[in-house]
Amino acid sequence: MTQRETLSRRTFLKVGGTIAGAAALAACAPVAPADEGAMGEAPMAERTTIRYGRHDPAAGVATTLESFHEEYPDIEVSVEQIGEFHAKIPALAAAGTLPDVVRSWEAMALDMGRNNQFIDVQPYVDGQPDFEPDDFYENWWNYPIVEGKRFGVPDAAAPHVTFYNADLFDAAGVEYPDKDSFTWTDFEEKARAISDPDNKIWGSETIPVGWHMFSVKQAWQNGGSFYSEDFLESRLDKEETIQAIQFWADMLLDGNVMPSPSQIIGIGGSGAAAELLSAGNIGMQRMGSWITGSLVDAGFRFNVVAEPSQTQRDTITHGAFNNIATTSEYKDIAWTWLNYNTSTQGIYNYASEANFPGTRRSSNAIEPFPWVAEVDFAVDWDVIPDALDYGHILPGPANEGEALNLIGNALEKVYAGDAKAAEIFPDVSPKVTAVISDI
Amino acid sequence: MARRYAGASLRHISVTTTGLTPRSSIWRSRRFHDAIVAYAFILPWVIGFILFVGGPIIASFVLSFFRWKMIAPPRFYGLTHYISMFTTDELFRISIWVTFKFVLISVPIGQVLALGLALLLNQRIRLLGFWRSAFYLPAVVSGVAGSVIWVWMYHAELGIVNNGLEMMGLEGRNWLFDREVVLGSLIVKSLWNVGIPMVIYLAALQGLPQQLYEAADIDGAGEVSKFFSITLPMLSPAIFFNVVMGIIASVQTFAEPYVMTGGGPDNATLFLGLHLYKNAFSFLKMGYASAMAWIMFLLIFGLTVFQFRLAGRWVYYEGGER
Repeated sequence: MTQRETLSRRTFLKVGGTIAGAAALAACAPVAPADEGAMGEAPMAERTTIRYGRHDPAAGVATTLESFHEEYPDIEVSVEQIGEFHAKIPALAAAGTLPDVVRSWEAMALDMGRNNQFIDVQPYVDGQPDFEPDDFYENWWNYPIVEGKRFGVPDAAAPHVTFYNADLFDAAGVEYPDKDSFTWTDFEEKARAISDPDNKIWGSETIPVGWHMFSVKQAWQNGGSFYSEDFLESRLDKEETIQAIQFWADMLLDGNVMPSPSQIIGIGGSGAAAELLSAGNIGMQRMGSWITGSLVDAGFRFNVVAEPSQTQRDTITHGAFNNIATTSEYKDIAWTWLNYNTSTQGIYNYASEANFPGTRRSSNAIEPFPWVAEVDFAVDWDVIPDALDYGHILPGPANEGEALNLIGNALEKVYAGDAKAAEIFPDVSPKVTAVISDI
Repeated sequence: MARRYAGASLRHISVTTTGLTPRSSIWRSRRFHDAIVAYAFILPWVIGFILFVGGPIIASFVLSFFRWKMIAPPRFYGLTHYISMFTTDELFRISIWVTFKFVLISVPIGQVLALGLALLLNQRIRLLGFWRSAFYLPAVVSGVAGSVIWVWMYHAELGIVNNGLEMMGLEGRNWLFDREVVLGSLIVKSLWNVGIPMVIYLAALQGLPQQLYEAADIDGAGEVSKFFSITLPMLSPAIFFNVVMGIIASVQTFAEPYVMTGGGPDNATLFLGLHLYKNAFSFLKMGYASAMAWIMFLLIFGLTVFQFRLAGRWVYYEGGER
């Protein structure tokens, strides 16, 4: 009989594999919930920690967090700033380790809700007598509803408006945009009159490379859209959409109205336009209200007017929704924080840090108004919150990334002058429909 | 024989005195102890490999037969991903073609350049250490950082490339926005990392046996003749290694198109790796991306096997058969 005196490779691999497998299983197992009973027995001894995931810095909620922790000493909210948000949130969802409360973007809120990653918060809203849903702007309040379920509560919203350099207008002898009537034609005429490409002065910003949703507002302003109201069909093949995209592409390709995208690449894409505006090289820029802060020290007088319109006044309003993860072990506590963070004061605290209006009207009534920056000249600040009444929230179709890739490839060709919108949008439209309807 | 009996006797004593089975002595043997120690040393790596390499490899293979967008449970899809990749995904075909062109142009140019630099830096020149370091330096810069530098160098208005051309009276191009030149721009950028193969050639050059050159001198061979008859054949193993590694790295190109062009303009720089990444992390099509990863693996594997087959015809190993 042969006696084995060494550990064979096979045995070793078996042992090693078992250990690694056990370790992997242990790592994949859901985190054991904290002993909730302990909180009831000794409320002052145990603090329950919940996680709050967001894409922007924790500093934005620092004030609210501080007062929340004072008011609720038994709850610790741990803020996690999550980079590469669009990829990491689904990865965390796949692992079952989403933060208890997630501040998600428009399309993400709907997609995660459709796929049962977020809970319906309507029962919590209904059970909170002081919540006052009517305080929210209707379009924001009604947006995150899918099949009767509410996936999130909005906080702040940043509308796109037109910022203009009043000094450049004066230097070119051009009248300022009319607050009550500002059309695409007005925009082009004024931009052309200001432009001096040889001296790197342009009347308008460029159309940002790779930021495809920037173009959707142009479609809206002409009565078109990228998608149907329910986000299940493409509207790229509609005449209004085609005309709108081609109008702005022609302006871009003209060369005497706005810098080409390649002229600003390397200095921040869409951010580059803001830098050019701050540097005094751009007459008008259609952008979100968050750039206000960067203009304060720019050294020129600026003002704000609504986005130019064609058939109707419209614009993009960016924002986010606070959601509770289905996997949260502390949903009630998560709601306590969510409710506090989306209260009048909570929204104001964040909005005033970021120069956004809030999605609650009551937050926008607190002075100093959150979107106002301190300057020593007159600015028509009310234009910014007014945009929340007529603006659209970014669309939230399913499979948005793939849809935007198709749309982006088509837009890129049109903006490069390689194709006309009328030639390629009808071909792309059914492909986009196939992607967004595949829920 | 005496030692074997002694061993048997000891084993017997052990059983009678401790009550353990005869096998228990294995646990006390020296060889077993050595094996345990050896395996204990490699166990962390083996566990790491199983968890972070082997496991994901198997998982990606399984996932390639499923539709999985991460936020919903996977659904079995059979071979659909593999079929649609070659039948309906136009961008996949584009990405294969872009990658193929890049490999075909950048690898040969890179190898010639690396060998040329190695030959120059193998001479006795002043500041030799400086030059060697300078040419190798880009290799230690991360792909992302290097790409950002090149974005600025290629900038149509402010870039050093166009400004340099302008000083020479030449007209610059829109290097990253013109679909006719954008792939060439990335190929030129890839040559920036030529320091890695250069160092390998340099090491190989310094190991060449001098007696061959002395014999060639006696025979009256010229420099060109010596290069083609001695240097190149003796460097063939290094060339083979560099070409294999160069092709693998080129097929996997990702950071440059991701940072510099995003795959554009008009998908002119949509490399296979970038298309895979977009499907996985922008479109959340994890199953499809996994299938694509396996096709990429098969492509690299096929190219490598092909090179090994060809190697017998041109790679010369000293002491081996040609």
